[in-house]
Amino acid sequence: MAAEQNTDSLSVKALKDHTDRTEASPSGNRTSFRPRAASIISESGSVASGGPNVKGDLRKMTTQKMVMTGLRKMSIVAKDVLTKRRMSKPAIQLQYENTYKMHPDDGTKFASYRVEEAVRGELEKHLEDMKYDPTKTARLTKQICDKILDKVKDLNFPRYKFVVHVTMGQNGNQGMVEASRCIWDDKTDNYACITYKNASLFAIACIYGMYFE
Amino acid sequence: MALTTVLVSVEGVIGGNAYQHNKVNQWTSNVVEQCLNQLTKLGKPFKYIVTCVIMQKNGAGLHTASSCFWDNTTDGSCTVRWENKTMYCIVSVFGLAI
Repeated sequence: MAAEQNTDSLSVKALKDHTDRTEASPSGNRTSFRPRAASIISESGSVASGGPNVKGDLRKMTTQKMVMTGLRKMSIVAKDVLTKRRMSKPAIQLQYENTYKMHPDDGTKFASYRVEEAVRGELEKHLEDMKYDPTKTARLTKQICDKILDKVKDLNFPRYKFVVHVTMGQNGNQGMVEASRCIWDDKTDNYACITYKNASLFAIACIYGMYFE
Repeated sequence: MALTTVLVSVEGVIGGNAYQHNKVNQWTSNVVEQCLNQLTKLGKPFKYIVTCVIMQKNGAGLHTASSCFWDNTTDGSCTVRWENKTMYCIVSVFGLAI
């Protein structure tokens, strides 16, 4: 009879724990674990009975600690899962519609003379006192290329793509020819070519402007 | 693919020749024209810029750089260096999508 009663009480407790879990708040996994934790503690607590039982108390404390760290780990994992879900959403890709603009507006066509003036000034400013140095000239060519590109962008030609090609070399008595040919729309696209020479080096800068339909 | 096209064009024009000052002009024009013809035969919707530099081997140094303001996803470039005993040839091809 007593055994039966015991089993009954246990089953009732189990039912109660189950209901507690189902009634847990909707936020996260945290609350659903608490009833189970409580039941573990109560079971271990109920085993130790009568008199001071230090070992039982210690076991209770260690199980509590384990449960708390377990809960903390679960909460960290839950947080990670939530943030990962948020971050893994793909960014909305912008789709541009056609503007049906086949020609540049009046006054915005690639003007070679304006580009030439600006770039010639830039070249002279940077290369006036330069001497050809094999180790530094490679970097200098790239720097000048970037500076010319920035200058051309500042001249404000909307809907134009630019290609800047700079050749720099030592001024020795060698022969050299540079040629360039393009397939483009003659009405909208153009180029500007500037050469600069001083005692020790020469520079050729070609800037091509292509209209982007 | 553009690389091989360019190499073939260059080899075809100046393949076994030594640097000759009176012919260099013609050579550069021919190289550029051949490259362009081959590229247009590909039939793709691109605007092309082809640049060719031929320099005599004299011990002097030469550097080339290019900087472009375009759409990285659709546009691209390719540079080919070729040399023989008497001269260097650098060909750059830029392709911009329409």
